[in-house]
Amino acid sequence: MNNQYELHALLKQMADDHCPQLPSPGLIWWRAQILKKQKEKERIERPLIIMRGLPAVASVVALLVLLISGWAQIQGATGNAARLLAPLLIVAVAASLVSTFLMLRLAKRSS
Amino acid sequence: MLAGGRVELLTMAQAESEERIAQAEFEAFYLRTSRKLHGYLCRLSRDPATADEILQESYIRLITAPTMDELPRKAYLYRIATNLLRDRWRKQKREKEWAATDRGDELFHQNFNLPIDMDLVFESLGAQERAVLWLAHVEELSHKEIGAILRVKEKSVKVMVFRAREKARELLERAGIGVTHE
Repeated sequence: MNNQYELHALLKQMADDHCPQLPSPGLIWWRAQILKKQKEKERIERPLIIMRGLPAVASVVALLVLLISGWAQIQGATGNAARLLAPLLIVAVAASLVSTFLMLRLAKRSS
Repeated sequence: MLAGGRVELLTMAQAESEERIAQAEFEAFYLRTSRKLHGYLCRLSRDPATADEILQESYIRLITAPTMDELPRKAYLYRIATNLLRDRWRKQKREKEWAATDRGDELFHQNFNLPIDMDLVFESLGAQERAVLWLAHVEELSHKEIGAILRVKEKSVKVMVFRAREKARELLERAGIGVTHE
């Protein structure tokens, strides 16, 4: 008998002897449909998540631009207190950015 | 307005009908292929729990893939499964397992008191050798399909299959199982 055919028959027999406990096709189909719907939901909600964060980011950027462009005037108006103002403003901007990031992350998790 | 509502109902009914047909087709395909795919994954991973997880994940990814003819679909399924297994090994830092070729001597020296059978001989081969032999002999896929699954060139598959066969034959002869010289 040909060597290759014997090996082929042995391998086939080994495969045929394998009898595992398999999940039902219906279960796999159902899981796939749930995942499909989740992905579709994420795809639809992605623009909403972006739009939620955009006003906050735009506000922070606008504030920074105003501060930088008008810093001389603010300094003039506040006098010595301007030295305290700069670090306070940095903390405020950093806190706004962090809270925006956390808000977006929370929105993404809940969607 | 009524006509619009009717069209919507027909479209929904059509979508449901198409989904039922798709599900029936999938179930038939699953029943034809799952046992052998599980065997393939068991042989490669040497871990039934891993085989179970990767089997389910592979079919789920296949369901979300675009529809195709049966033969490429089966090859595509095996490619997904093989890639998932490789990714898992990469995360577990077991990449060497894929490239490793020889456990034959180790197995025969360690287990000479156990009955030697085809299962043990197959286990003695390297992961890539097991994959190639399974795909070529059990699934009877073409060299081109095997190359697409294992991400190697078709010409390399021919050499890999030849070497894996020779090694398997050598191990079988040492074990005194069935295979005779030509």
